[in-house]
Parts: sequence; C-alpha cells; structure tokens
Amino acid sequence: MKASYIYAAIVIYFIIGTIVALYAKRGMVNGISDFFLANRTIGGFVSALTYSATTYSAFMLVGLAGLTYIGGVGAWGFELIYLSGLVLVAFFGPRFWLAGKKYNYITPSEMLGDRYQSKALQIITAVASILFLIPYSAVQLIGIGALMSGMSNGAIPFMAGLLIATFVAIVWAYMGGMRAVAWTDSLQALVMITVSTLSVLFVVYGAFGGFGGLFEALEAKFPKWLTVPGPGFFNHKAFVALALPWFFFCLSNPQVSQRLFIPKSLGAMRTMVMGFLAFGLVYTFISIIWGLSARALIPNLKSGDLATPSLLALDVVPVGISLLVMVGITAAAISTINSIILSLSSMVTQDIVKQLSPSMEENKLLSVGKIFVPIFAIVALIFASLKLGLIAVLSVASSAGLLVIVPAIIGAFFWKRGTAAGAITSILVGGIIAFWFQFGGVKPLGWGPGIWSGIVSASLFIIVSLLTAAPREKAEEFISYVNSALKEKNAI
Amino acid sequence: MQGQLIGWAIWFFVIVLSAFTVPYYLLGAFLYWGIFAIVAIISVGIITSKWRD
Repeated sequence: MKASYIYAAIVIYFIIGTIVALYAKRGMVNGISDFFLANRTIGGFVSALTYSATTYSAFMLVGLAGLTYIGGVGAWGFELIYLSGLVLVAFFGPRFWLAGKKYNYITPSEMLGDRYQSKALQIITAVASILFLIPYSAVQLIGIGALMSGMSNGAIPFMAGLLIATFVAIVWAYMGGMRAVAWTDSLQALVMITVSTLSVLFVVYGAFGGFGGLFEALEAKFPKWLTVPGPGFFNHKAFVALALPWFFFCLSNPQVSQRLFIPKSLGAMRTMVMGFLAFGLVYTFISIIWGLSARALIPNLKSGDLATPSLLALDVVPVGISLLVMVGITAAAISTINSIILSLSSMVTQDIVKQLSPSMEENKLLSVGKIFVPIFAIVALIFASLKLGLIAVLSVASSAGLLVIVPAIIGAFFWKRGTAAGAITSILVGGIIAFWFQFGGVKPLGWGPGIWSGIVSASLFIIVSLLTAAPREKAEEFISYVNSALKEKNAI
Repeated sequence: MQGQLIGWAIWFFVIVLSAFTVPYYLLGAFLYWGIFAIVAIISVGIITSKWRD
C-alpha cells in the first residue's frame, strides 16, 4: 500500500480526533479531580466506550487473531473468560464509585493507601503499576510501528509509526485530561468496532460466501482448530494460566479500575458495564473469525502475529478497507496508550509526589501531573524504539504482575483484619515471582506465572495480615460506610 | 443483602469454573463458551438493573 494513503488516513484521523478533544475540553475546570477523572461526571454511553477503547488494545485484531490462527477456538474461550471478569464490576463497581465519591479518591492506589492507612502501600502500588504498564504501552507502540512499516512495505520507517502514535497520545491526553481521553476514546471505539465488522464481512463473504462457507472450509481442512485443546497451543494448563490472571483485569489494571470512579451516577455505571459487555462480545467474535479466516486462507505463516497483516494484503480485502482496518488497529492502540499515561500521571501526582510533599498546592500538583503525561509517553517510546526482549517479558508479565494487587483490593471492602503489611508483602513478593517466573521461564508443576503470583500474593496477604495489627478504626468506618451506602443504592 | 451477595458469588464461581473445565473435560467448546458469556452478561444485567441512582 502507498505510504501517502497511510499518512493521509492518519492525518484525517488526527484532525477529527483533535476536534473531538477540543469539544470535550469545553467543560473543563481547573483541578486534579477534573483533569484526571472529569470531575466524576461522565455519562453512561461515553463511559462504556472509553472503558471499551481503553481495555481493547491492538492485541485484539493482531494478538488474539494470531492466537486463534495458531491455537483455534481456545482463544475464544480465553477471551470470553476475560470478558466475563466484568462480573466483578457488578460487585466492586458500586463499591469503588461510592468510596471514591465519599473520600475523593483519584487513583485506586490512593484508595488502598487510605483504607490500610499506609503511605508506603500507596507508593508501592503506584510504582508496581508504572513498572508493568510502561512496557505494556511500549508493546502497543511497537505494534503500530510494525503495522505501518509492514503495510507500506517499509516506505514508512518503524520509528515514524512510533513517533506518530506517541505524538497523538500526548496531544489528546495533555489537551483535556480525562474528558479529552474519554471522548476521543469513544470516537476510537466506534471506529474500531465499525471497521473491524466491515472488514470481517468482506473477508467472510468475499472468500467463503458466508459464515457457513468459512466453517465448512475449517471442518474440511482444519477440524482441530474448532476443538480444544485443538492443535496443541491451548492445552488445559496453558489455557488456565493465560485466562485466570485476565479474569481479574478489571480490578488489577489501574487504567481500567480508575474508570470505576468516573461515571456520573450508578445508572451511568450500569450503562458502562452493559455497553462494554455488548461491545466486548462482538469485538471478540470478530477477532476470532478474523484469525480463523486467516487459518483457512493462508495456512503456512511462520507466526500468528503475521495473520492480520497477511490477510489485509490479500486481494479479497479492498485497499480502502485495509486502510480503515489499519486506522482501527492504530486507534485501538492509541486509546489504550493515552489512558495508561493519564492514569500513571495521576498516580505520580497523588500517590508519590503528594505523599512526599503533602503541603504542595493543588495547582502545582496538577502541573506536575500534566508534565508526566509527555514524560511517560516518551519513556514508552524510548522502550519501544530499543525493541529489548525485556519489554516483551514485562508486558506479558503485566497481567500476572498486576494480579498481585487484587487480594488487597478485595480485602479493602470485605476483610477488616487486612493490614498494610499484608498488602505490601503480597504485592512485593507476588510481583517479584511474576517477573522472575516470566523472565526465567520457570513453571513449577507446569503452571505459568499468573497462577503462582495469584496464589502467593493471596496467601501472603492473609497470613501476614493475621500476624500484624489492622487499622481497626479506619476499616470499621470505611466498610460500614460502603455497606450502608450500598443498601441505599440497592446494590449487593 | 449479605445473602444475595453470597448467592450471586456462588453462581458466578460455578459458571466461571465450568468455563474453565466443561469444554475440556465434558465436551462444542465454541458454543459452550458463547452460551457461558451470554449467561454471564444476563446475570450482570439482572444485578445492575436493581441499582438506584
């Protein structure tokens, strides 16, 4: 594809997104809560779309399609178990929202620090999130660089794709904080779902005459891809080790759990949850069909990651549709990156700088937070440009690494005996195990790092909490307030 | 409220556990996971429909 087409599409996409960001910025007032949480005033529809765009990255149409290409329908089960993790929001969503509103929490780590009465816990949780999410952002950038370079046959240098994505993410996040991010995310979510649906219909009807034709072709040539464990990639242990950490994604990843603070009401949160579930079910189905189509049409690729670029290069996909898919994948990546850098900037502001300089005025804190938006984006860019193997390790380890925060979150709402020492120990030891097992390829009893980091962190949280003193007064006050407010809102 | 919380938690535990095991040991997989996701979505819909603003 001509590089000029790609550049033109990206410029149009950037202009439309910037107009949306400027529109969103109109409602801004000064202050940390407004910049990072849009003053908790986001409506249900926009909440649903920003939640979807933040959660679904370039992984879906590239990574998940690739997993389907090499492993078959096990990828469908893996991704739907992740989607079903949203049942946790039915329990924790109102709790986050009520506690956030009452105590004015900006970040999930701030909530943990206050609930367990520990600055150290707040800082450690924030640092752990930064360590795992910067590489995760870098991998998104690498995906965009590789996609643009691949689709233009090298006419667009890898580095140019990285720079374009970083620039767009910084401009939109810096321009209007959460308001601009939420509204541009909404635009990007609509682009993602529309172009991916269109492209899959083109492939399925163009190459197979319809869905029946696709499944007949698979049954005839690749029947194993319709079963589990199928061709072997999704053996049961691999399936559990992959899916279990992702089930807790909505609580473990701060850029996602922070979105539980932003809806303007519980009604808006309901729209957010149900909207995301509908979006996720459709987007997952599309990504799986995309991968299965690639398997039936181009069966001899060396790697699953090549499935999407190779499919887009086929004659069955018109050039215009290929271009739109590229914009859709770029949108998916950028909407995830700018949400992460905004979330991490809020953590530096609230969880680190404010804790170390409690007397700093709010406008100065906000300036620090804004400065960190481009800083985090540029750090991710540097990581991505180095293409270190370590980045991929940390990115893959992010789901297992961030899982270690979940026991402390559950304890915050349900266990008065939980302590800061228990939470800190579980996060530090669990995080080290996640990194060590991932980096060293260690698999005790054949189970991957996500299983062990979860077991170790949950066990340590309970054992160390029982051996140390809990902040009884705060625990009593916090849990009593949340429970009485839940009753008022008829939430369970 | 406490009883409802425990009841729903057990329900979700059972259906999620089934998603990890049934397609591998009893079954098919494509349809089972699709039905599982729809049941989970309907369950979340029932819980959230009771929330008051």
